[in-house]
Amino acid sequence: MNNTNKLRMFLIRNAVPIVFLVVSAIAIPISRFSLDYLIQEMLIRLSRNSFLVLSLLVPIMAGMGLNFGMVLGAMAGQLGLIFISDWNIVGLNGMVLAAIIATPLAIFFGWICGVVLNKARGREMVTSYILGFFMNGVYQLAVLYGFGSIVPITNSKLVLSRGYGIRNTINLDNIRRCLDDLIPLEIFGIQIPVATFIVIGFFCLFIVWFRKTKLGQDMRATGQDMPVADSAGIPVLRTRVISIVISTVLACYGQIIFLQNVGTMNTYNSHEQAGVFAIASLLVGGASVSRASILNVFIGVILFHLMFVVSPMAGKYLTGDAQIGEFFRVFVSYGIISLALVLHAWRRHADREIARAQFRGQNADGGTK
Amino acid sequence: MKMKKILVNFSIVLIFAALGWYCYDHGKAYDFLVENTTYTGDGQVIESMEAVQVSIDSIDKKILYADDRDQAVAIGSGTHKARLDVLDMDDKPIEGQSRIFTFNLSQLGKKPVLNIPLAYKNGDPVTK
Repeated sequence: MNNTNKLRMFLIRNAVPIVFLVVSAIAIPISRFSLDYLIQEMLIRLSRNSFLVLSLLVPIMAGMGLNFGMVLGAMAGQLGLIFISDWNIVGLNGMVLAAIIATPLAIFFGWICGVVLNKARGREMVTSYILGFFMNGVYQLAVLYGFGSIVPITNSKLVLSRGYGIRNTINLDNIRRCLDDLIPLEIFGIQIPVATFIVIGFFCLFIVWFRKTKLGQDMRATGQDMPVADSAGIPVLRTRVISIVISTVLACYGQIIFLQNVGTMNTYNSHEQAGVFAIASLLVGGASVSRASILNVFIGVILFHLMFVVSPMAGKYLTGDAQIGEFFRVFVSYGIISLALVLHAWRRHADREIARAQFRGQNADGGTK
Repeated sequence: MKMKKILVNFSIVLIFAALGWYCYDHGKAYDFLVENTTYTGDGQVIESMEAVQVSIDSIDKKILYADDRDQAVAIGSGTHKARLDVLDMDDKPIEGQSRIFTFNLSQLGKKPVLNIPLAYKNGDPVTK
């Protein structure tokens, strides 16, 4: 492959982060935000979102694509938070208890998701996306009608005035920033949520370690070629279910970390946004449906949220209307997923063409060797 | 092999349950009332104080003037430490006029109320 082709392949592989980098570089001076403000915002958003995005790595490793079913985990996390708010458990104890309550729910949801995705092999992403919608209905039914009637909720601040169902918004003052402020550190006026970053760091180490385990190797083999993995004696279907269960449980913890930072919970909406934004972040970081690394997660969160922060203000100064910037960032998050999927298909096609050309004994650009 | 697997799974569930119970016990916030009102009972009358600062477990600090009543929070079951500081005209604590005592919410009755004048006089929220 000559240098032009190498450059072309590099640009194709990193088209999304490059586009984001260029747009951000243009939008930052227009938005007129100070560097201090942007650094602070990026640190907060990195600590808030990284865990959720990292939870997507395991299913990609197992060849199941982007797990849109992570919203199921987010729902489980929110159920845990509803219970601790009702029982008035505060601080880190409350957060850990929410995680403990949510874990069996997340395992159950993950198992359901894994079993369904095994029935829809090859169409995992769209299936998990629709499964998310279905489970959202079940969640809403349970929370809107079951809580306060079948499931006892004693705290009147949580229950709707009719006597059952949870209110639209729950104040999470009891656990607000309990993890972020656990180890307070301020450098040049910029607050750094050290404890949250330590948790994220441990998670990264877990991913690195997990890849080297027998299960991790099985997942990689399954992700590369399912029939070959199957004939090698790897329990393919079970491995795929485990990958989704792990992802769902981690997404559940990620949602709890996310909401402890935000401090309020949108009972019926918070989880819906979790999946799309996490997936968009990962794709912006240069990951694809079949390949993602820890580096992609951090680059993606920074670039995506940088765009998120600067675009409304840039839109306001450019057009005089902040709403345009707001529309822009919604458009960006959905658009980037579409772009990444199109690029993935295009790249696969290009890789196949190169492989065929090499098989024929030609260079990728058409010349003979 | 299967027995070992069951044992490991059971241990994990047990550890999770124990951790959950610990978090519930140590993280639950109990609301109760603190009042700076005249205490009458057991044949004694203790007048309310002019201004006093109450802090529970060094977290929740509030100033109560005579006949004030407010909600306080104690986190976790078991004993809690309360500190009472009598305040001067500028709402500054007067040296040598403070009391530190420990109490249990169950000591304060079913609807817990901490009477400040009584606690300040006895060094204990319960009548002796």
